Amino acid sequence: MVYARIRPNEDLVQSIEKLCLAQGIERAFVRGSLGSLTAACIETPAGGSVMITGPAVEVVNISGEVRTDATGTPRAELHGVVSDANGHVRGGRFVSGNNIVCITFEIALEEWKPDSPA
Amino acid sequence: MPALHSRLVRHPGRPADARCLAESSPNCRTLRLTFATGVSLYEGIVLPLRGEKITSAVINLLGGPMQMIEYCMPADDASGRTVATYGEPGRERNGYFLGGTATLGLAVDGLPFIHCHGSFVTEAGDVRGGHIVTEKTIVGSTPVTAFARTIDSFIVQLSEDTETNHRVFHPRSTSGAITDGVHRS
Repeated sequence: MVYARIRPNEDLVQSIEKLCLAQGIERAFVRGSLGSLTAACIETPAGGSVMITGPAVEVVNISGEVRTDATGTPRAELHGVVSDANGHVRGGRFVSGNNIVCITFEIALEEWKPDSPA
Repeated sequence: MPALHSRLVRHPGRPADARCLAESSPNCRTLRLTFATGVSLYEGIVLPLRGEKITSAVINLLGGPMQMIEYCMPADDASGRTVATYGEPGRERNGYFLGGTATLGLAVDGLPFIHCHGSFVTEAGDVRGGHIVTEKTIVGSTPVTAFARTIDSFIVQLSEDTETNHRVFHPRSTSGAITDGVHRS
């Protein structure tokens, strides 16, 4: 298991992908995740996206994985739930490049090595 | 529809060069924990893991009824010392915890410390979420289960972050001072 602290002003999705590049991880399961974003940008079921604004937005749950595509580039697919300054929750898929860490983000990745890649 | 774009934030301190601090623990164990009625999430996590000499772990909390859930939500910092802080804690009596993630590590003084986020249903049926105060979140009428993934080749410890002026968890490759006891609040 890899545990990391992501510092402010880094994108959550791309930071996880960069972490996999740095650690030589091709596939991973998100074991743990908690932290804050300056604003959360998540896809809605209708295909649009919505921004939940701060001063900070708490990420209360992520289910996600990282897979490496045909070009050798890790791609993180993260879905989850965030809560705002009133404790109200929203959920969806985190949009890459648009979920900026506010104070800190802790991420725990479990490398996964399948016998036969799906 | 206008493009949505997240802004960067200028924090009070100078940004550190390294933007992601990572350590790996190749030989993790998974422990199943059960928290009895009346036990705080903090005690439920800390006491059995201390018994196993485990100071750092990543914990997946499952759901269950709670006598009390204490939680914090983000707020502006009127002092200007940080870009965001926590407001006064909210308390939800007889809520139902839906699940969450916690990190067990060490405080600056070496005592166990838990950082936890989670979601829950209020007694009125609304779903809420936030930073869970594990010392004051108390298990209700039936036990609550968690799975702890133990960290054995580095530690996680709070330290001052001069960039944000917050005290946050960092992975550390060297072993820190471990103090007997638990935090009382």
